[in-house]
Amino acid sequence: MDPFENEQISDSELDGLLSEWKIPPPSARLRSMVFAHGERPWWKWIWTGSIRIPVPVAIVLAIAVAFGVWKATYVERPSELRPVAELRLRIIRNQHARN
Amino acid sequence: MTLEETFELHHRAVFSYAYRLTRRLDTAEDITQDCFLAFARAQHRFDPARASAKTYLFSIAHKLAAKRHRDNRPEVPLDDEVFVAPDARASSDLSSLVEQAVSELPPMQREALILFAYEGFTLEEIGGIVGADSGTVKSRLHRAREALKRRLAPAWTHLRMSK
Repeated sequence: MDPFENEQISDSELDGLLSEWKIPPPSARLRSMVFAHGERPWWKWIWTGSIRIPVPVAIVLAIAVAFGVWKATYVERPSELRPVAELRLRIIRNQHARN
Repeated sequence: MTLEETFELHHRAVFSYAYRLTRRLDTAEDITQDCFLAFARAQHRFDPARASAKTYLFSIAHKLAAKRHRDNRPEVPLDDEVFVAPDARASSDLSSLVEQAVSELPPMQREALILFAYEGFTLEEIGGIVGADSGTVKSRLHRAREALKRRLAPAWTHLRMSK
């Protein structure tokens, strides 16, 4: 065998090599990250919480709010020329006019 | 079983899985945290008759890790066969060398290998976690192991000759 040729690795040898990969332990704050979040009073959520909204829903909501604000603040301007609610015609005949 | 008991039993395994996938301590802790919070919210949906709590937690962690992968590196194909050339200078010891070799596997192969070799799941359980049939998982695992054998062969030879 060529001394510079790489040796084949068997399955068991590969398992042995894989077990060499050591990882750091999770930090102690992980527990508090999970449980402090879960134990937080519900009313604190109002000040610190956040919600995720899909963009199309956010756009529709923004348009609805803008329309609501416009509708609430819209004041119809008085005008001198207004359409007549009921048309009452009064015919004044000329006294000298012939029938 | 309470959330606290479930956390005590499985948080190291979930963290280990997330860390081996991402190789970042902060990201792995974020995924572990989000995983248990999602588990707490969706506990009513967990059916012990269908899967163990560990498998259920890992399927949540898988989704969270996949989402992070999509958000951060959308340009990387998930099952690409391309193998990046190793950087021997960066691998100062055997642990780093194995870490680097595993991290250079295509993501789906890497995940199958991590779940099988490090977390001890069966092919069926891995299929349940990643949403694939066991045949696909077996194929990914086989390709991952063969790629690793090729990748680690020079270091293995060097190690044997130096002993």
